[in-house]
Amino acid sequence: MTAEAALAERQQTQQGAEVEATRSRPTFVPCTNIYEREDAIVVEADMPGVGPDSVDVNLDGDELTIAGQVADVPIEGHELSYAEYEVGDYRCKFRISAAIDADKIEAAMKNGVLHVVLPKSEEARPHKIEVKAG
Amino acid sequence: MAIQIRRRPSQQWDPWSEFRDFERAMNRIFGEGPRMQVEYPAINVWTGKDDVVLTAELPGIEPDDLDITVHGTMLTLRCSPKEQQRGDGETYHRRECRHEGFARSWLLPFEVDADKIEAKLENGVLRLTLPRSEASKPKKVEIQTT
Repeated sequence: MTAEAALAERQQTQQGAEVEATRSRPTFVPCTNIYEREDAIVVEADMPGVGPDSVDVNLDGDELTIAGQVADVPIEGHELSYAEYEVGDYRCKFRISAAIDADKIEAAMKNGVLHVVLPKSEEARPHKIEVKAG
Repeated sequence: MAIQIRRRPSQQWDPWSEFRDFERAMNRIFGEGPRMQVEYPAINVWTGKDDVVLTAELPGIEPDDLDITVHGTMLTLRCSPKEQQRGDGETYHRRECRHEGFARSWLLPFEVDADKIEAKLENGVLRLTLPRSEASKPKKVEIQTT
C-alpha cells in the first residue's frame, strides 16, 4: 500500500465495543509497521502531532496497547479554509504472538513516529540445533 | 407590472478553488489519472488576515529531508528521505507506513513574502507560515470628495 492510500484509508476506531473517550475528538488507528527480528518484535506507529510525553504503551499479558494524544494547538486569528485531514488521537491494540520480556521493553518517540522494541524472552528465541554429520 | 431584476446568485467565490484546480491539472500532466483520493501528504490550510498557515502530517520525516520552495505563487514541498537500513532476518508482520519521498505543488491565491516564510517541523507535523507580500495585500481606495 502506498503512503497516500494508507493515509486516505485512515481508519477511525470502532467505538462501541471499546471504552469511549471523554473527549469528542476522533480517535484513529495509526498506520503501523510490525516486524520481527530474531531477538525482538518491533512496532512502529505513525502518530503525527503526538509528543514524547503524551504517548502510552502498555503490555497486558499478550495484548499491547498504544495510545497517543495529540496536542491540538489552535492557530490563533486563523480559520480553517481547506482541509484534507482531521486531527485526532491515536489508539490501537495488538496481540503479540511471541513471549516477551516485559521488563526490557523500550519505547521511543521521534518525529511523530513511535518505536517500540519488545525483546523476546529467552525461551522464545530461536535455538539453533547443530546437526552432526553421521 | 414591474419587472424585477434580480442578480443571479453568484457562486460563492472560493480563493482556494484555483489551488485545487492546479493540483488536478498537475496530476493530469504527470499521469496520476483522475483520482479523488487524498494526495500525500495531506494538508490543512488556515487563513489569517495577513498570512496563511499550511500544516501537513509528515511522520518520520527529518527536517533535512524536506525542501520547500516558492516560485511566484507556486509552492512546492519536496521530500527525499534517506534510505533506511533494514537488517537481515527481519520479517514484516504488517507494513502500513512507508516514509517515502514525494513532491507536491500548490498555487497560492496570492504572492508570498519568500523571505519571511517560517517552517517548523514538530512531532511529525509541518507548520508553514506564508506571509502575504506587501504588494499583494488589498489596498483601500480613498474616495475623494470635491
